[in-house]
Amino acid sequence: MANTKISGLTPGGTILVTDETIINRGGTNYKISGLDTMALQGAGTVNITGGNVTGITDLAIADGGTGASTAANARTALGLAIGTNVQAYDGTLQALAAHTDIGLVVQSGGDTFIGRTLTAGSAVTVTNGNGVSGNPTVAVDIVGLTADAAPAIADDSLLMYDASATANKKVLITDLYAINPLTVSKGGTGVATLTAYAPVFGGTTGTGVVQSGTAGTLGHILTSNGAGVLPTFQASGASANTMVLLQTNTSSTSAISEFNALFTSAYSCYVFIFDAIVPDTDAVKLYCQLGTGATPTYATTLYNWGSTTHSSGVNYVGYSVSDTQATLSNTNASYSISNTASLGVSGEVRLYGAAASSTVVSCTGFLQHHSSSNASSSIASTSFNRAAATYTAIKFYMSSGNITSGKIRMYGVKNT
Amino acid sequence: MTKLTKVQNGVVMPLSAEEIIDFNEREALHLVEQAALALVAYKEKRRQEYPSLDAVIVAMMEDQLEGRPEALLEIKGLRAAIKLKYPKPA
Repeated sequence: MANTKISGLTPGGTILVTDETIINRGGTNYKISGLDTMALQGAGTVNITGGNVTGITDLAIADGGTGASTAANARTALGLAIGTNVQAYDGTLQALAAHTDIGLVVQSGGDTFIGRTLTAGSAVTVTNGNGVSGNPTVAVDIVGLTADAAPAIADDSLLMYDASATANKKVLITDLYAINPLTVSKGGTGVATLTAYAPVFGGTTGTGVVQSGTAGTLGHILTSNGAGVLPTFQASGASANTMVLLQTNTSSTSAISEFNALFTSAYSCYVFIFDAIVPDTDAVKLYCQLGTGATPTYATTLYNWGSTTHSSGVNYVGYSVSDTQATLSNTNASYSISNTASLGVSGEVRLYGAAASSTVVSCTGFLQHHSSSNASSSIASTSFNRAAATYTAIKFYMSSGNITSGKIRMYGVKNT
Repeated sequence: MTKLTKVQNGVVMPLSAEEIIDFNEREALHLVEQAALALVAYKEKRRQEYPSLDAVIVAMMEDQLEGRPEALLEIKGLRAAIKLKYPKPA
């Protein structure tokens, strides 16, 4: 085929390619044939280095495209759908991505993260506080607490769990006392109160595990009353013929020293020990009366008494067969009892038949005292008797004024 | 006025009205007795300082039987002095 040079084409002119056309460019021949497809132009060697490609079918992912004609579809096709496959950009995530501290991550501000570590407080221990070596472990540490040697019960509290409220609460130590008394099995007594000064005994089903006894009487000792009965305080010296302290009266400006309801059939004789009985009035005599009844009515007649006293080498005899009381001291007015504090009446008086209604009551005494008029000592041997009665009380007093000080002890001599 | 008390079976308690009356009566009686005693107290005081009866008898025997009056005169002087020391109330 002969070559045909095309010249003279004007813009907009047309080259009609009928079969196959060779184009020489720069000395190189290019064959143009079937220009309706790129294949006719050497499809495997087409380089597109400029211009626009539009209106083409969506380029497949395998051909380097996205298989889509929109950005959203392209992200979906690529598995990068925002909100589905990937997070959209976020400043907080960016800050978190930039976070490099070790330990527990804490957001301290809008887009600010820092590392934290659990640290131990009072009564608490922490292991692996920053979580680097394992899970943090928190435990209670009571042993490590400082002991409170002097708890303030009105202010200090204990931690407790209130099951009824399903909540932790605190309890003031003082409120622990408001709880039901601690049982014996728990180390308590099981009772809220006990009788003052009384001993505590084991109890029964009816009384509770612990029960109070009675305080008893001065000088008495605790005595068993057998099985099933509470022990009680009783006069000591239960054995026969022994002397038992029944009562002690300590006078302190007392008008009367009285022993009431202490005469019983358990004793055959009573001994009254006078220990430095000092009157507040000078030159007085020591008197005695016997009484009957629960609230004693004292006999004021028919005291048959007599006394022999010795003082300064002189003996005196005094007596009455029907007096209003018995006189126990020196009956001589000049040798009556001194009120000097360092002196006083000392000695003993013995009483027989006090509680025996069929026996005349009788008394013997041996006392010593001083007289203020001449500072001499008197030794008085005295006695009295009175008609039989069931006497319940005896009282000692001065012929005038009070007894300033001193003691009178009452003993009983146990029957055989 | 101080409240009057007694001690009964170791316990201090107030006096009953009857006991207070009795207490006051005894105090009044005591004052009367002491006033009466004061009138004759000189007798006991003289008696305590007089020579013994034995000494007086011996002095009298010496004076009457032996003509030696010294002891009796001494007793007379002592007796006068004691009477002067403890005069009888007017």
